[in-house]
Amino acid sequence: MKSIVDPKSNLQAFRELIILLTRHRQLTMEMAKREITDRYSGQFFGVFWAIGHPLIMMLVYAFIFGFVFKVKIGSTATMPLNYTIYMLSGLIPWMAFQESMAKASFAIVGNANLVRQFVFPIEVLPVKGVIATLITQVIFLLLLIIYVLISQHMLPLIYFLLPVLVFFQVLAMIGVSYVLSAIGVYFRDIKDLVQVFAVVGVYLIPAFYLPEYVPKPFLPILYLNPFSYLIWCFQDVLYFGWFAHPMAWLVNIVLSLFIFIFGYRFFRKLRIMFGNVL
Amino acid sequence: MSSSVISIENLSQAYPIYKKPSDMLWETVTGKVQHDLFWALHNISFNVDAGQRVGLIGPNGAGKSTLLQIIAGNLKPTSGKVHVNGSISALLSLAPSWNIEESGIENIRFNLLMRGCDNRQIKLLTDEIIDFAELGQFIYQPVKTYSSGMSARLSFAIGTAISPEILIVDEVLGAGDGYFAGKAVRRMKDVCDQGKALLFVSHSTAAVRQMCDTAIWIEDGSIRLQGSVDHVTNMYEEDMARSNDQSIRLANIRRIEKNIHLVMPDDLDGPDIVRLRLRLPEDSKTAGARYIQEIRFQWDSPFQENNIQVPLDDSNNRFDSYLELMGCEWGRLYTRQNVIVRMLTPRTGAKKGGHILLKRPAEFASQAWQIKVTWTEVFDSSTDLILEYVDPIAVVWKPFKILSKETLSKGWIRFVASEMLFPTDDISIEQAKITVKERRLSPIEILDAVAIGKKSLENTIAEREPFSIHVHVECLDDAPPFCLNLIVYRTDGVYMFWQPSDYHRQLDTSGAKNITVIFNFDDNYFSSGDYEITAVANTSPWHKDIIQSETEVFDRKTSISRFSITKEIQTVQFGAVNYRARVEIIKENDKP
Repeated sequence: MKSIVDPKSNLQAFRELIILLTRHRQLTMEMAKREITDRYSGQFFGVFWAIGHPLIMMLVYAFIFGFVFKVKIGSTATMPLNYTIYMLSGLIPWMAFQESMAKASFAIVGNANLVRQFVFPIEVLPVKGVIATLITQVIFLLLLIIYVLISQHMLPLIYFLLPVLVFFQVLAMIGVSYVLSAIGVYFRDIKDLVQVFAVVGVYLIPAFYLPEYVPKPFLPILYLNPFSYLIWCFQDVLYFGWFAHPMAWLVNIVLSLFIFIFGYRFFRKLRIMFGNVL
Repeated sequence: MSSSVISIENLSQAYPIYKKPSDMLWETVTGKVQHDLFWALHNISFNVDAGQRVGLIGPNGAGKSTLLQIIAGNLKPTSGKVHVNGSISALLSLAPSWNIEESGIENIRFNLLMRGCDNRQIKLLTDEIIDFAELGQFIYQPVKTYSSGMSARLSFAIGTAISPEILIVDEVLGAGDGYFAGKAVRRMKDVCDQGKALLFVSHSTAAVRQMCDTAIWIEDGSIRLQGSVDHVTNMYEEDMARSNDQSIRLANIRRIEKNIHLVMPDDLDGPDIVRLRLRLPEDSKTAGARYIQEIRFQWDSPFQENNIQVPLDDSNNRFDSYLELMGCEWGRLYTRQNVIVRMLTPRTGAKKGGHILLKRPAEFASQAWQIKVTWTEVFDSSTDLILEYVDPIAVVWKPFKILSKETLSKGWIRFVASEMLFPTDDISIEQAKITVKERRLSPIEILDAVAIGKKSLENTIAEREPFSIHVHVECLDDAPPFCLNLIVYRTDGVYMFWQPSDYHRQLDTSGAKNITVIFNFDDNYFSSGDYEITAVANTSPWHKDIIQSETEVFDRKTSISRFSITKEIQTVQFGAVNYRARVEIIKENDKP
């Protein structure tokens, strides 16, 4: 237990992982490319589904909450942008995150043939799913920026922090992917758990509502959920336009770094037995 | 040690076997062991030196592929040490990581990336791979348009491109045409000549002989033999042929029942060794494995050592008692309910039962020895095992008297048996050997076969030269009429010729002790090369008393002899599959 927080071994693992990912970046990219093309090969709309699936989900959410329930958030002096942007600024990172988790839960199991029959750095397998989903997220973020530009005719300066935020999100996604993919080898039910979590989790993050709307007894759930902090950071950049949740930034960055290193160390510990279990 | 590229010490690999998947979860939650262990490899040790080409041979499921995966680093061994000194390139499967929608070029790039190449190396190696694979314009086509031979070529080219220090190949030459196979052999030899090592797994002894200088024969997860490639492959082929022939002969159930108590030539040991066996009863309908937990010998003696336990995980004659693991029905080690047990699996072609050897103490060298045997097995079958010992005087297996049968906890059951073992000496063992040799199991025995040309040496025939194959057969007095089948294979396993002696008409084989069946090849359609003769004697299909379904195989000799056809000036392409030889027989030693 002590070694989880031991700075020396953490730093060492961090360096090891960075070296590994830089050395095999081409392989990772190539695998991510394959992941996208293989997933949709032979389908009529092909790669469109990578965008189409989350796009339809978002349209449904926007319709239900914006038009049917007529949720009124924003368009005030402190929150000038409209509800759709509020909702999307939370949904975009959340959907990418849960997509990468779903991919990670069978990143190793689904490539059992590769793992068993080839000698190659299997550490790239969980990362390739992250890269693949990241592409979708970047496209959505660009669409959102265009939407904001059209509706507001300007972008807040804080939008320049978006790459930084995405960078830490990627670290967290890689870390979580390492953990889930390693568990997935031993405990195959994990992919169903992740699916259930994806459906439920979207309501556990402050994406559709403001924290103030949550009844007091349930507030701890929101604050204990690490994804809330990620969402608040994205809302700060994309919606509020200023550091509305400074604590969330601190928590998000520290947590991302921690899970990145912890995930890799967890994976490294379990990987030697993969071949025996698969 | 320093020159070893791969050194393996006491390597063992066990696979957990769960009765149901929920046991696995239960085990991780509670930490209480819920699984059995199947020992795929047990106590493997060997070294591979630089420049050595090692072939791994053995039947299916012997553990060869598991061993390769451990060496390649894809599996973590349960125990033992693996030391690999150098970079490994493994062709563990025929199909590399193909994306069948992408072209050959793109797949080359991907697979080189997987093997850790950078852009500069990829550029360099891609041309080399394209040259070697010789796929022409196909290299720009999607891999899904390739034939299996083409993808095998590309796969091999990629696998050997980065000139690894250690090349591991698992049955990759199977596909691909003869021309490419030759190229592949040269490439592998080149790799080894650069001071690197090759590990080659194949079922084909011909391929191993061609590729390797040493061979390791693996069976049931242990090394059965290792040494020079010719020695090991010859022994392996002999063993395969023997068990093949034996299983054919034993297919006749009536004969098994009659012969099961008879001692075979290699069941006879010196007077200071008692050979026992645990076997299933002959009428046992269940063919499942049995699990033996403990075997213990006890006897009354004024001296101390009178209670010994047979080590189940080792076969070594430095012990007072040990299992004979090879060639009989002992199977793998298995860990059941946390106890190491030895499997006893019925199999054809092996000696019946699991053999146990026990050294006879000096004090009982010349007096009767009353011993008590205790063994424990898991009881999941309705039939009890039979314990027997070799009686060299009667030259039969004699059963032990079962004293008690006691059910222990968790389904284990303990048997106690006892018997009086009388002393023997070298003379009676010699006598027994003679008795065994003279005792014939079959009324008809094939002695040998020889190919004789019109002018050349025995078994060496010139191309197109008429020749004949003489098969010598020995018959007992009551031998029924038989038909002799002659089968010819090329030494690389290609089927060439098969003909029963009474293909045209029934030949009269009655009334003689020694019969020579001659197959005349008046037209020699065999092309130059080496050939193997297999001979099978069975009931004649013409025989009026025999119903077709009762056809009985009297004797079968696989690869009983070899002959070669030497190359002449004119080269002709032809085959013998549809040729029919003219058959005649010669009888000698007419019975009175």
